[in-house]
Amino acid sequence: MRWTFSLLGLLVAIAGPAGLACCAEPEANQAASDAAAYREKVQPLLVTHCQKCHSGAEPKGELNLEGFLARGSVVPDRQTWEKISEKLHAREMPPEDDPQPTPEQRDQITAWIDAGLARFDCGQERDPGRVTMRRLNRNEYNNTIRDLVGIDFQPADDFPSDDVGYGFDNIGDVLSMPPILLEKYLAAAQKVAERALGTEQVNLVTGEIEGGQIIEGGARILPSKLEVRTKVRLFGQGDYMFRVRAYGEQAGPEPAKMEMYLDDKLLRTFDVNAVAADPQLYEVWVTSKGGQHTLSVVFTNDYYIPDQQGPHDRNLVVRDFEFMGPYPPTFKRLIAREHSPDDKMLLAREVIHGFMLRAFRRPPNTGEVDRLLKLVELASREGENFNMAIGLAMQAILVSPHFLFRVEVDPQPNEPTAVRTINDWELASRLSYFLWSSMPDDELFSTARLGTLRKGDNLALQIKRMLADPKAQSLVENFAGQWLQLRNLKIATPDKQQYPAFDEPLRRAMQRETELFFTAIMTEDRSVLDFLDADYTFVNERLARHYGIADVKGKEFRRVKLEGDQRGGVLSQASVLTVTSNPTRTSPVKRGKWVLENLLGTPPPPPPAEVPPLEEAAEAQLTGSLRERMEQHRAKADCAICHNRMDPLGFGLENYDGIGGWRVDDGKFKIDPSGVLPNGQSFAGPRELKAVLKLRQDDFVRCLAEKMLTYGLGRGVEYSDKCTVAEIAKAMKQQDFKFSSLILAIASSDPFQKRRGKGSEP
Amino acid sequence: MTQPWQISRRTVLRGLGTAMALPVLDVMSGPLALAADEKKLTPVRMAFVYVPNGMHMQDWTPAAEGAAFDLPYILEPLKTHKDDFMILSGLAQEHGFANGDGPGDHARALASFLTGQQAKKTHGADIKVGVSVDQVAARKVGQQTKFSSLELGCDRGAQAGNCDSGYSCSYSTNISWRTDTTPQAKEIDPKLAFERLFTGGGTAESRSKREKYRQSILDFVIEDAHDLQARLGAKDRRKLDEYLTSVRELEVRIRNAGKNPEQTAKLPDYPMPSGIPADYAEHIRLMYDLLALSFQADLTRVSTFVVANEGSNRAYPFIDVPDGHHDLSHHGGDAAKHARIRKINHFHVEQFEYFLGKLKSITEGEGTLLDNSMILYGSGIGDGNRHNHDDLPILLAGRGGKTIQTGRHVRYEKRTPLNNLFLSMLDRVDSSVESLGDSTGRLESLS
Repeated sequence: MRWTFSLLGLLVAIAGPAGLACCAEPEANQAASDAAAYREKVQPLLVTHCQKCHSGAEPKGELNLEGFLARGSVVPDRQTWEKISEKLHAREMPPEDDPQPTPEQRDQITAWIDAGLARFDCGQERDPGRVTMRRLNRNEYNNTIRDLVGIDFQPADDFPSDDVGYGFDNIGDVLSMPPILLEKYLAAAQKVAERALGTEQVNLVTGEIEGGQIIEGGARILPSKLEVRTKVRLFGQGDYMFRVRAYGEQAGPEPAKMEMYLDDKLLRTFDVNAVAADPQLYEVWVTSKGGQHTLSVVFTNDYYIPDQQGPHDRNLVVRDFEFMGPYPPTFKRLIAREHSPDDKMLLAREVIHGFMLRAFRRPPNTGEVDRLLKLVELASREGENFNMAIGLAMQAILVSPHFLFRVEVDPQPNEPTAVRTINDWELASRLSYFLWSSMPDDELFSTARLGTLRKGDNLALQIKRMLADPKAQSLVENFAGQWLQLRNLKIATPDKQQYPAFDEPLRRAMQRETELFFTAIMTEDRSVLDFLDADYTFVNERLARHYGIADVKGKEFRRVKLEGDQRGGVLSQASVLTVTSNPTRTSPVKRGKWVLENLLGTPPPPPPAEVPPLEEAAEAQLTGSLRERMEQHRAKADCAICHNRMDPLGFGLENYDGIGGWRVDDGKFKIDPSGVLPNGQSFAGPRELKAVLKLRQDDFVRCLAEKMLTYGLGRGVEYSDKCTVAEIAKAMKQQDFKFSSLILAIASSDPFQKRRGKGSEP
Repeated sequence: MTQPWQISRRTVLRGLGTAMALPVLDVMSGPLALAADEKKLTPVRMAFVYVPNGMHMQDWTPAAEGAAFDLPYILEPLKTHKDDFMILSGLAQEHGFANGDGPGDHARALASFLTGQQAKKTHGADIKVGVSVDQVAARKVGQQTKFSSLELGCDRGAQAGNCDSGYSCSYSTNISWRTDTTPQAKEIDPKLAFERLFTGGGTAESRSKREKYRQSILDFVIEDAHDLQARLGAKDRRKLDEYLTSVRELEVRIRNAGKNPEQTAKLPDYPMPSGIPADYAEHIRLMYDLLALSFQADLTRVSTFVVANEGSNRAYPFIDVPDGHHDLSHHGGDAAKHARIRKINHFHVEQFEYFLGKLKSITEGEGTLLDNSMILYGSGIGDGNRHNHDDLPILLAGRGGKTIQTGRHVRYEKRTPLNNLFLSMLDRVDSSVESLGDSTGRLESLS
């Protein structure tokens, strides 16, 4: 793996005083030419078509354009211009009964507005935005439970699905908390506690004890190198606790030494410092199979000098001898302590504090722990054993808002200008949920505790470590799954008649290819431009047959080097080509729209609200190939402006059928995969189309940065984030667009590192 | 189609399900059990069943009005229940239209359907529409049953991408809105729905202990939430309010857990479903079964069921419609597409027929469960190609406890708000309100 960036270098790049190309341009010149364009091409149209209604004492829609039009500057009146652009794009204005601008004129206005909106001032005031408190979504809940208690049993699979906003299902504003969900949380918490701590009675294993000499109270004394032992029958494989309460009759230079054995295996040697007045518990965890076993305790340092003054006879006294289990593996991790205090409430406090810190992803305060101990007391009063009592507290933790939500508390929550850098605990959580869709691990927690996460290269090093961890597969499943819309592949229903080759193994193979492709770019730290085009991919026999790649046998996926023009990059992967098709045929419109939305970040405006009435559409009998029919449709000027952007991109992919198979004919028609984009660029098939897209790598990188930022922050990217996005793209360019440079630039950005008080409440 | 298919369905149930008798809940000692009043014993239930992408209206709307109405192709499956429902033509949900918000008719159709309000156009930062009619009723009468309302569906929410022209996916997947900003998620897995509704397992003693513990857990988290509330900004606080509201709802549920044992005792043995069946029709029918059972046991009186999410592009190959429903609905006047859409519409009504049959087979007082119910069936879009939200396909089944004269086709004045019907329905479940959404008054000619 090649990791060459340094955090310091990157931060300098981001914070560099030169700023961005867009902003460094001599502003006076630009302003002048802008104003001229406005006066000549835009203002007259707005006056003709808009001002009549939108002026005077009672302007329509409470929008008065007088004065506003005279100013003619987008940035200060950004929100109003945005609205105007939207209405024009959607052809909602002017009202249909009024004279309409020609499509070209309409385009002229919106182009000017949109260009103005695209300019932004990356000055010193930087608004990092504010993420609304995020509830864990289903994936995050499952992963968090897995990492918190150590059982991967996916309780959230029973939860209702999370709503999607801005294309992702981890958006704080959209994740709601209906009663049914809380009910499921409560049930899941109970299940988790039961599974983690073991509700089935944990057995006290007993057997007849042999050896030693019985003294008062049933204890056994081991006066010389003797052992006590017992035979036990264990109930099954698992963790057992072997516990001995003992003290030494001390004499000589060292305390009594005690060895504990399971069968012939020495588990541990203890110095038994305890004395008769205060025997102590000595315990050791052991993993064992079921069946017959022998437990033994051996006294190893006999000391006896009869003539000596004072204590002269060292002995080991064993009072109790307990063997308990089996415990679920998680128990050891959650409850066991090297030296558990005898006082149960003290132990409870320790256990709860530790669990709470990890569950709340920050240190709990004393009051919080105290309140939970009351639950432990309550359960104890009800006659529950220690584990059950702890289990009840654990359940409360798992339905607490501090666990279910990712809470970031601000000192001045309602002050929009109060910007703060989030603390290291919060940063650790943001990182881990970004890259792992889960809670921080021990190492991240430890950097948070030490306050070193931002020191030196640590952030970069942590990111490197995290991306290499198998848990980063969550980024593939959740980010790539939504960005590339892979998740929709599960519900795609290609027509069996039309595509007899499509079956479940192929569906799974399609999915796997794209996941492995993304994983390769991530873990090998390759250039993100590989997404657009690459000379490698991953196939198994089934998919290789679908692609016409020879010599691949078996179900296992392997990397193959791609030859020829047919494949390379996500656009030629069957997964993407299938989710952008209709069940019975390809959809050049959907494919074109997909490219604009997910690769270029320039989504077409939605179609006009009023679809042409039936009769009109029925009159125009469309004939010919799919392409010809669509071109006839596109002849309508109203449709053309957007469809001229979408359709050619889709035509360029027409060599791929509705499930991504290569074809040269569609029924009786020959495929014509050529196209011309509105800017005049033309291409003659998928390979040339990709070349055209690669020319627009800046758009692609910005688009990917925006998507990743949305996902990483859990909120929509706002106008105020435009500078951040540009800076991320710039930092990536300096690092040859390596995947890690994208992640590091996001994690280092203001929106990720900071937050402010609330914005305007809608 | 229906006959052999029904046989296979039983086989599936027997093969996969665990035959499990419904538990008998605690003996209740509340006013409900003692009330002699028949109205109390047989309360009126209401359910709203939603089908997406509009309807092929030419084959839905009867030509004749009044009692002698005909049954066009889509309604044919209901011929044995012709006296038990009415068709209401001409009703509109004005806030399904753009009203200045541009495209996004599918999102608006579902969001406005039970609210009668305009969904705020947003990708997610500030979703907002209005309280839906079922939740108005749930608030008023929900306290009397274990579940104040029951939200069912067959589709998960969107898995990726944008749902509809700048609208958050919340709008096109949720029909029920508890507050104007909080949608009620739906249960789509029949097994989970069954468990939630009917299992309260264990002995009375262990149950009461568990409930006591749950209550103390909730007490704990309420305190947590209150502490936190004071320290949050406005938007975060809204999320926490949702949380607290849900906690309180759950407290009520814990209190009501043991209600209505007599009715539960009367329930037939019903096999526990084993999960989401691969067969869509089977899935729909299982959900209808559970809905009927929960009405029968008076576990809830208010429900919604979204048969498919709005804008659904599900294909129906099992009735020879391999195309996606949404793609088809933009038929552009193509006769072949018309034929397929009405097939889909017909299929959905066939399943609905099964539900009505089920409700009718359950005797309650002097009549049937259907007599004591109001089951609304319809879509928030008229013609899928035009995306119009007036002249909606609306069917109302059940007599609402002898207050609705069924067996008729009534044509209302154009653009009569659908919400007027909702006001009239709310009256019949003791949940009267003065207005709801864009209502202008109560709907005439129901009785």
